[in-house]
Parts: sequence; C-alpha cells; structure tokens
Amino acid sequence: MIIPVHQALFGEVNRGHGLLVSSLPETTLRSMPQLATDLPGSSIPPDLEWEPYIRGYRAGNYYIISKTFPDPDASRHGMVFTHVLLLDLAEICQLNDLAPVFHLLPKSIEKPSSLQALQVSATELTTPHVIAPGYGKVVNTLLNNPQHTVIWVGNDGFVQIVESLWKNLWPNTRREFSFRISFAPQDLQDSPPTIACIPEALVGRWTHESLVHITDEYMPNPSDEMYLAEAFLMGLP
Amino acid sequence: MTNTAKTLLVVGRQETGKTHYGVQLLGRLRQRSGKLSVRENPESIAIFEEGLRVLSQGMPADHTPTTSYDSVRFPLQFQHGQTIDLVWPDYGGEQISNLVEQRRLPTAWQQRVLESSGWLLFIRLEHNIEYPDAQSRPATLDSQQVEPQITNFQWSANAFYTELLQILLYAKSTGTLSRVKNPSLVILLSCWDEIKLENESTKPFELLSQRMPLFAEFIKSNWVQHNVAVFGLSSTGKALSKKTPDYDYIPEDEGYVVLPDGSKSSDLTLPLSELIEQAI
Repeated sequence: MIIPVHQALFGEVNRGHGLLVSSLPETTLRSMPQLATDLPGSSIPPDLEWEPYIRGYRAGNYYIISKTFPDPDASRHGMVFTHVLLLDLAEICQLNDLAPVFHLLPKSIEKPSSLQALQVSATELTTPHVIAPGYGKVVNTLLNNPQHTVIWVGNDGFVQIVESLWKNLWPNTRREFSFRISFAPQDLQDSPPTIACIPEALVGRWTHESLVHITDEYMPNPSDEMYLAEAFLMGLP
Repeated sequence: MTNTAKTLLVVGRQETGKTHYGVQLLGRLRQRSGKLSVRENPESIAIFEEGLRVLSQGMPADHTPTTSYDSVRFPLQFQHGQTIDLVWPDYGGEQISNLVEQRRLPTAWQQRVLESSGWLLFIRLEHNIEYPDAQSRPATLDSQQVEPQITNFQWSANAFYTELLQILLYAKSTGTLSRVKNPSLVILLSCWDEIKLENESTKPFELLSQRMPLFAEFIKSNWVQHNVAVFGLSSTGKALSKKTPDYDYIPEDEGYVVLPDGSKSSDLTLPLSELIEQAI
C-alpha cells in the first residue's frame, strides 16, 4: 500500500510564527486547530540548548509527524522552524513501521520555496525486532499509569522508543497515540501526550513523576498480573 | 474597596511588546513609586522570570510560544489606598493575528473577552503594513502602471485593527449604535523610541491619526471620549539586541510612557491605572 504524505513548513513569518509553505491548501491547514508547530508552553530557559525534537499526534482526519528545530537565523530568540508531515489517519494506522516516515524528515533546516506531497510504502518494514534500550521500563510505566504521560529523560533513544510503541500498538490505539517534547510539567496539562521526552538539564522540574532513562532495564515477570499486557507491548512470544 | 479580581484583555500581535511591558510593569509595581503598586508580592511570577533575567542582562525577551497563554495575579493598590487584584496575561501574539486572519475566536478567547472589564491594545506603528490609498496615491498617477501582484497578502494595519476591535466587540455583545463605554479602551503605541517624530511634542492620538487615520476615526466615532485613551510606550527605553548584551542596562531606570497630552513620564503604571479607573 502506498500512502501519500503531505508536507508543510512553519517558521518565522511577519516577525511571528506561521505557515511558510505547504503541499496542501492553506485553508486545509487553517481548519486544523490542533496543529501545534511552535514550542510548547513558555517555560523554556533562554540559555537552554535543546536538540531538534519529533512530535506526533492526531489532528482531525490526519496524523501529524513533525520535527522542530531552533531557528538561529530568526529575528528573535526563542523562534523555531518545524517541518510537518501529514498522513491520512486511517492509512497511517495500518502502517506498522514509522521509520520510513521519520526518514522523510530533514536532518537540518531546509526551506524550499515550494513543496510537493511525498509517499511512503506500507510494506517497508525496515527494522528487525529488537527491544530498544529503556523500552521495557516505558511499557511497565505506561501500563501502571495509563492516564499519565510517560516521561523519557533526554533525546537519545526517543525515536526508537516511539517506533517500538507504535509497532506494538494495534491500529485503533495508534489513532490516539501521541509523543512530543516537554519543558515543564505545566505544559503537559493541556492535551497530555502518551509519552514525552524532556531535556536532561530540566530533569529537576519533574519531582513527582516516575522518570524513565535509557539505561533503565526491565523484563516482565511471568508471575506478575501485568505480564501478558507487558509481553504483548514488548512483542515477546 | 473591593479586592475582586479585574481581568484586563491585553491584546497585541507578535512583537508588539506585551512581554517587555509585563516584565517592566512588574518591576515598577514592586518599586512602589508609581501611581499603582503591589500590596504584597504576587504568588507566582513564573511567566516573567526569564524576561526579568534577560532584561537585567541588557537583552530582549524571547518570542513567546504561539499557543501559550499564562497569567499572573497582581495584588495592587493605588496611591490613595484603593486596592484591586489584577489578572495580567502573557501569550503568543500570533493568537491575535490568527483571530483576524481566520475570523475565528477560540472558546478560551470568547471567555476572556466576556470576562474582561477593560481592553489594553498594543500597536507597534513601525511594524504596521500600509498600502497606498486614494489619499497617499493621487489619481494623477499613471493609470497604465501595472500593480505588482500580491503573492503574500497581509492585512493593512488600518483594516486589521478595525476588524479586530469589531470582532471583539461582537464577542462581548457590545453594539456601536451608541458609543461604547464598557469595555474601556487604552491603546499603547509601543516601541515609541523607534518612531521618528517630526515634532517631539506630538500627542499619541495625533500620531495615531496620522499613521492610521481609518482606525483612529473608528475609535473616535465609536467610543465615549472618556473611556478611551492613547499612550505612547517605550518599555525598555531603547532597542536591545539579542546578539550584543548591554551590560550597563538597568531595567528599573529605563522605560517611559507618553501621556495623552504629549508629556513624558517614567511611571509605566499610568496606562494601567488609567484603564482600571475607567473600568471600575
């Protein structure tokens, strides 16, 4: 199955943050109030050097996957550039592997003057089954507190964790699966994602949440009540 | 008097100086030397902490993220003793641009408009966009001249701000068959220091009339005279650079307002006290 992937770029426009160019009509994007392309919240220390981060969430009949970069060429501090991919919600939920979608995102800021829709093949299963570092602990934390956002410390390994979760969720649950960065517990209050990564430098802001580090190890115990659910989400036989 | 919290609707597009004014206002309120001051320290000033820090280093505050909206509660008192609590917000100004461009008022903003008892509108004249009109582009101009095609349409400032106030008035269920008294309106012409004035004694409303005649007439025609005021504002006193910190900069000593009569004052609380007095 071939899935079309629309694109849009957001960055500095008229001294503010707005749409630069898109392969979709502007009116389509305007009709998606859920579209979030700027930094979340306003609790970002100005001297914090954060790495480009990925974000995924549902917006209407689309699933959005984006990558946000700090924009050093912008006229003001704190401005960002975001490359957005838009996939039909029903179609992406049939996709087992997000890696080909992530590969469509740029490694650095690129600002072409026009954009065309891309496509991704649903048959491209490029990654073999391996358990990503820290993934067992993520699954355990998620199942123990399904109403709370799982907090992943740092950026390293976050993409692999997202890919692993997506792969092991069944299509209907993928619709509501979401991930992004967070700079303070307050910015998780509105539309809390399933999992959020946080900059290591700000870890002290999370005092009440159980945090997951890439070095955390966890293997389900067959005698535990949650074993079957944990084994399912970890893709264990 | 009452301590009931008053909510002002602070309206400003991106980079019109809302954050700088909020930060400098907090500093002035704490100094307790102006017409308004804080009775006690606000419970939380988290939304201005970073702004306070960078301004004290002689650098401008960061762009406020587009979707953020936070507020702080100022427990205030006037010099004559009257007390009032004020809810002061900070947010990404793109929300205001989107409000007009999309002609859509999100539910949260509808609520804010309804709860507000006064409006504080920031306009940065030097960032305004204006197109030639019948007055600035004489009819004798060569009619054969081909107009350049507009590829990135932007509202003219006159139309934008007039439309904006009409949307907000509609959301507040306030008609203009009779002149508007509630909400009161204070317009701040921000970054006054960057405006090249031909006459230093120009009054803020005169400048607004020169630069935005349509909007100025809209204000003059629709508001009760005593319920609208136009101030000039330079929160930081001069432009600050994000690349070159000004280590000699002392925020508490900088900033001024130009009063409606054209005189200057370092009391940055004056526009706010004017609005509160009109609104209560």
